[in-house]
Amino acid sequence: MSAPLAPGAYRSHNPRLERALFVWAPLAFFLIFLVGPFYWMLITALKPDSELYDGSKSPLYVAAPTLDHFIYLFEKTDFVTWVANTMMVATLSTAIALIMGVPAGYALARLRFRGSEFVGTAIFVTYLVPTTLLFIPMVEVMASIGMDDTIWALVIVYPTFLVPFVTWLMSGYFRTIPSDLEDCARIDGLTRLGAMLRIALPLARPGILSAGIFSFTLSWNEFIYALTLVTASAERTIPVGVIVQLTRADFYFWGPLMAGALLGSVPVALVYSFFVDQYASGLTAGAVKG
Amino acid sequence: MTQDRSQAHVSRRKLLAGAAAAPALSLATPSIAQGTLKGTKLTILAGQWYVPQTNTLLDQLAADLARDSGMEIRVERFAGDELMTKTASVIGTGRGADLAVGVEFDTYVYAAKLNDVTDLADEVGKNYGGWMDAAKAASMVGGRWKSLPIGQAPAAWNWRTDMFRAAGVDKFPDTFAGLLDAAKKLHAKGTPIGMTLGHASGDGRSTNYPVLWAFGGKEFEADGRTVAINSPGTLAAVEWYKEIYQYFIPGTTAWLDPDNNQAFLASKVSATVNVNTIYLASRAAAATDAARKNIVDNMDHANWPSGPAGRFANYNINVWLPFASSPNKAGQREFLKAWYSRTFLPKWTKVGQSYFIPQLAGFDSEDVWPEDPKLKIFRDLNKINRLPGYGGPPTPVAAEAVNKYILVDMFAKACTGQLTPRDAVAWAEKEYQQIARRRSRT
Repeated sequence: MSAPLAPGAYRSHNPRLERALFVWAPLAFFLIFLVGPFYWMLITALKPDSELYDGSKSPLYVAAPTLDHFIYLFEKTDFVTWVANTMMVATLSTAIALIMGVPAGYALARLRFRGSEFVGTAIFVTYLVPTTLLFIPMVEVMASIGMDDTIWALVIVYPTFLVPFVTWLMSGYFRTIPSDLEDCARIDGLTRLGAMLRIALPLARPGILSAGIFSFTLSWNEFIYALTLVTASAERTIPVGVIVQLTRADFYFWGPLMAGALLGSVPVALVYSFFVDQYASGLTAGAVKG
Repeated sequence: MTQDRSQAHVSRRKLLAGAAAAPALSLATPSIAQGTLKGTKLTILAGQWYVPQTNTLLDQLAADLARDSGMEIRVERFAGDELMTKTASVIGTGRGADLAVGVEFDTYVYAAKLNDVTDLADEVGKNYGGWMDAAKAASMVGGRWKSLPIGQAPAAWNWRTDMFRAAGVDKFPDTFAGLLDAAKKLHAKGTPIGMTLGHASGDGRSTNYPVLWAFGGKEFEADGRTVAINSPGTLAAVEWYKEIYQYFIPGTTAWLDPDNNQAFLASKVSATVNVNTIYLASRAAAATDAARKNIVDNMDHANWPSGPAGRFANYNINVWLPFASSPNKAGQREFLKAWYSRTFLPKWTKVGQSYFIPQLAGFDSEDVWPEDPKLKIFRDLNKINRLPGYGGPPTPVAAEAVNKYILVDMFAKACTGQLTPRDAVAWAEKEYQQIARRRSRT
């Protein structure tokens, strides 16, 4: 058994050690956890094939970096087209989702009508139905309205899961904004719509941005609908295009694949970085800030 | 994919002219091709075959047929697993394509939604010396041809002759006991072998079914319905696997299709079961990459060892699926006739370097085989394919078991110690029975 500690031993502390243990160590852990995949993508994209398949070399660094895989991606595949397609689909479907979902969320949070709770729950449950169950009926629905095999089908279909998500998120957010603010505005002469547009929406901006960023990311990464609703190679999105043109049977072209995955994640990262402050406050702030 | 007409080499007229010289051919009859298909459309879903020239030839064929028939043809490509999802979507909705490259299970799982192509199959068989048994098993349902076989990709043992020699093994073992002994020696030398025990849609089957069969195990009785997996033969196979697994490279239970290629190319394993893509990739890069040249010089292919019940193999099969929902049945048939014509199919087979080989008996004596001595073995391997469900006929139950990786998981559960060999077999039996019960109700 060890000797008892001297009186006051618990009080003496090393600020550097504490900082290292409670600040830098957790930070390093999360940094490795979050940045690790991107680092892996980057070094794989920069490695020549001879290094990629050399089992004697460390997988964690690049000895002779090359841009060959990036050049291959731009010259031998339709990557630029896929980026343009994905951007178009993600932007439009996010816009539709916000235009429909934000007022719906407001209505669920503020208006009292019979069955409002049930509608709120039903909307959320709709969001939970997996796309693997829905894709075949959805292809049939799109075909019946003449929208099979076109990228515009994605612009219509993505809001079917984005609108419930935005509605659910925004109804929760609107509930954190005291309704007294809108009541005051209505006493001062604003209509219900005016109170929503001039009081509630500006206060809910962080929440709207969070919902928009999530919706954009969900659309950007979606795979099943993009695979089944679109056949033409010129109309594919990044997740489908990359896997089709950069694999051949049981051979994966890891360099270009990782280059594509890395570049494909840049727009999403940019969206996050532009709105990070608003996004963070959207997750943490209430309606009335000092 | 839009077809590039400037690439055209095999014109429809040439096809017809060549076919006219061959015996027996309504395959070559210029019945519909001369413009009566004008205004129609044909969408073909295809994968990316490993040998690029085989993909190019398909594109050229489509472009030539489009030009000569007036039909608008699109070839759209998807990666292997994604192609299966896309096919399921076309079957489910009746939209999206007229013809697709499928796997053998698709024929009997989707039989009701495929056109009957028995007359075409009979003609092709007559022209090329008859279909092999594996082709009939893959494409015939209830005595009718519901798809047309494209070919099969024989899987062999890819092995490093230099590493085996260094471990004191001069030739690839001819028995399972010999393979176990070699694995021990190679492991001791730091050059272990590896067999795919992960959910790899191709290698998962071609690596594990031959082990089951070689020890006398089988999934079903001859009726194709009675589950027969719980047998002394299966138990012996599982016990052998559990023992050899100790000498594998770590991580094989997570291997997907590209992983054993990668491990072999990185010289991390001395042997694995794969099609000839490892060799073809190495050969293609050998001129500029010394490491790949070393692999080409020091690798070879071998057949499966023989077990107590014999020597078996299982390969992936590709078939043409003619969707019954297609409004362009005539276009489907024209394309298929062009594909199996004498001017196209032998050429396609030859450039394919035995990666995908049509299961046509007459090809054995034709000039469709690669000159490379390290690819010679595939000519013989082409003759011994068995389909999952073997013991009985291939059925949707056997197909579902493959798609759920029951057999692979049975071996993996025992190898990793999650279950004892006896419990792993009992687990598999329960899974098979569950699938069989559910399928019998539908």
